[in-house]
Amino acid sequence: MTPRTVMHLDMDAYFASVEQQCNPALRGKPIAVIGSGARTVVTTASYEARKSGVKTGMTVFEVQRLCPEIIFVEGNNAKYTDTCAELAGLYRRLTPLVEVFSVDEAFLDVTGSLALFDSARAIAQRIKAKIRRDFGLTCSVGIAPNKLLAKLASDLHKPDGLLEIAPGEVAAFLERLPVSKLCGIGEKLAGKLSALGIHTCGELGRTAPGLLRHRFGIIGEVLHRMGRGEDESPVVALGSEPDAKSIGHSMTFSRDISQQDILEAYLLQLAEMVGRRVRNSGFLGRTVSLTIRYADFTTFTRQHSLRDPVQGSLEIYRAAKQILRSIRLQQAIRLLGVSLSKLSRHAGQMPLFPKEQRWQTITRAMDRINNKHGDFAITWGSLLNRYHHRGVISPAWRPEGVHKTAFPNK
Amino acid sequence: MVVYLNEPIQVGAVFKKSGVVPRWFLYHGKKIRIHEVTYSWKENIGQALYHHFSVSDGMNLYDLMFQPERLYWRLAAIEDAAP
Repeated sequence: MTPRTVMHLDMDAYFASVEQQCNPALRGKPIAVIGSGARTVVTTASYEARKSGVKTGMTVFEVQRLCPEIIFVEGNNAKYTDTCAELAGLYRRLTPLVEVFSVDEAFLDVTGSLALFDSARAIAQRIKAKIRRDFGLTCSVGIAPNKLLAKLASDLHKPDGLLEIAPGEVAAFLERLPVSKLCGIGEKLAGKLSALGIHTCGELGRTAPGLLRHRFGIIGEVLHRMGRGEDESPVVALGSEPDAKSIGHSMTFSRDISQQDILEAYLLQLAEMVGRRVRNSGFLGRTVSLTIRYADFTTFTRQHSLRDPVQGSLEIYRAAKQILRSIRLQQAIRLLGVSLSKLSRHAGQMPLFPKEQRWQTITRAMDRINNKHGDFAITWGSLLNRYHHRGVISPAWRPEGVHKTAFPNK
Repeated sequence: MVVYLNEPIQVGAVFKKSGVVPRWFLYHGKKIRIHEVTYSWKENIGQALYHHFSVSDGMNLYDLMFQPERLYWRLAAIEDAAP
């Protein structure tokens, strides 16, 4: 098998760097990008802020205590998602195998492009120069024989780094590297491995697969291969991703809510957001899930499977409402989420009765209007006072397909 | 602080091979010269595409919005450059 050359590109402090590029007065200063809600947290901190210990997920209060000179900037998701789409376009001029891993990360399989350029390093330098010139941003690049090692390489040299792990250097590179540096091995798993006397990737790679399988089950084998720097997962090109397993939306409220009528109005809004994406993607789904997060952050999900697959917002709403009504709420609610899963592309049963046919006609007309003029241009009367939130960029967001969602600015 | 306006404005711009570069705009009868286009991005609202330009006059930051299909400009927002 021909060895692959995979590149991982990671934009440095992405949202914060975009904001510093937009506003010259922010450059070189500690800034934190936050959401628009009253109970927002930091989504990205600039490198200047990170020096003071500011991290993603901290509250405004925590950040102010650590770094009194911090400047908070309200994020603008349309800026970040459009830049991501532009970057994907730039990468695709160099190789067709581009996998957008998240809004600020991408994998490129450049094996087939090497004949056109001097080397993978030359491709990486070209990309870095173009991103700096066109966007004023920096990125860190890792080059390696697979995705696992390419991501590791980019993580090890940040910001503005470029690190290549050649196939012949893998074993020496991993020998003394802590297992926690590998993508997929978090603090908890690293602790369990440590209890077995496994601290480095070298030690992990030398541990018998049977022992790891016995201790960790099916992932034991995977861990053994990770320790040896082996990963055969392909770079899945944009547009070739497997079909979505579920489509969902959630919203965190600016204050905790316990009133049933208000919660049900938000359920309708979420059902409409889910329904529109489901219909626009040509899916139907059978299982409606409702996620609830209480004020104390206790989070749980309840599901309801329908007899027939649906795509109408009202059907999704009714199922979600039935779940909500079946739960005896223990506390006020901080976050509500609705999703539809068991997706299929079957056309389903055509409506036979006049009432259902009318609903289908109304839904199609509403979708056409909203597709043309924007979400909620026409909507249910009970949603006139709907919850206005800009949302967050989900890890599943992609610049194309069913996972592309819009983020209107105000 | 960002102030959201969404007001129609007149803009002087150069349409280059590489894209549109706004040079000045009229706001409340005052001509504001653009020192720097600091960033640009696109946004879809329904089928309508909007090009945003974050521009600086050296004092403030402005978010200019251009709608290429109907050829109009709007001043989307103003922000004090110095936080």
